[in-house]
Amino acid sequence: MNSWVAEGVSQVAHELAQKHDFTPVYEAADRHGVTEWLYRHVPDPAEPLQQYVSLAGWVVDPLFFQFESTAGLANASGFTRQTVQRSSVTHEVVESGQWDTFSALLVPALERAAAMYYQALDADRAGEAVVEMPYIARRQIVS
Amino acid sequence: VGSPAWLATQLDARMVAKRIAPSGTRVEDLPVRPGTKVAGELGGRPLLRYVDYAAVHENQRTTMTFVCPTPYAPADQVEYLALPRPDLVRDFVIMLDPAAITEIAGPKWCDLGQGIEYVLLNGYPPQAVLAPGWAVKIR
Repeated sequence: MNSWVAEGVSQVAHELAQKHDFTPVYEAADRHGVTEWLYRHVPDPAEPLQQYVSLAGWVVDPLFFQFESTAGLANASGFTRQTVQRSSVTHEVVESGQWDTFSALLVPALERAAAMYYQALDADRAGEAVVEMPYIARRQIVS
Repeated sequence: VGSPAWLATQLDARMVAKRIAPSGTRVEDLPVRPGTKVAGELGGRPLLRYVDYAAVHENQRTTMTFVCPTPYAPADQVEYLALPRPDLVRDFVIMLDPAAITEIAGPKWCDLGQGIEYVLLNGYPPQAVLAPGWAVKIR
């Protein structure tokens, strides 16, 4: 991915994440062929659950990029993550600086991460250990 | 049928014992060391970058790049390394000589995954790519 595209996405994703109290773990890092931005939030220091959201992008062809957002949870003993949205974005959109496209991808992931968090807390209080098994199957969150 | 991925990860964790930062650690907070130090830590083993067919001839990068020391089958990579674009089949691997890379951050436990990762803060130079000089098929 071009560095100026990565910088533009970084700026909008960073601002949006900060607004939701997420801090960057890394931004615009290549992870085995895909550029990824990862943000983390610990809503309550007394509660070991951490929220994660990510945005990832790659070049499809001279016309399109593809981007995906994910939401995740982790604690000391497990983690879960799910893909929230995937969208094609034209080079034209990026070149014309329509960065709100990336807000539209990341906001649902931020909302999903919050929903997963409260679902996990409720499950914990009810003595259950399961959040849900996502598209990317991972170990279940356990209390 | 079991996979050796778990065992391979555990053995690598043992090899770099007590040096692995927890998941959630920001890249900027990871220790940064010369590649020669990391090469010693890995006992001569390469760092691995998994790619698909389209990137077979990639021979350098200049931006932040994640790599790992552990050999994984394509079917295990997504789960262990929590990779984005999980539907991409990364069935080739670029083997990198850590000693040829100036600065390497890590290792750290993968976020939302189970593997061990290093971060090449400024990518890698062509001379870091081990023979044959391009990605090889995982078989």
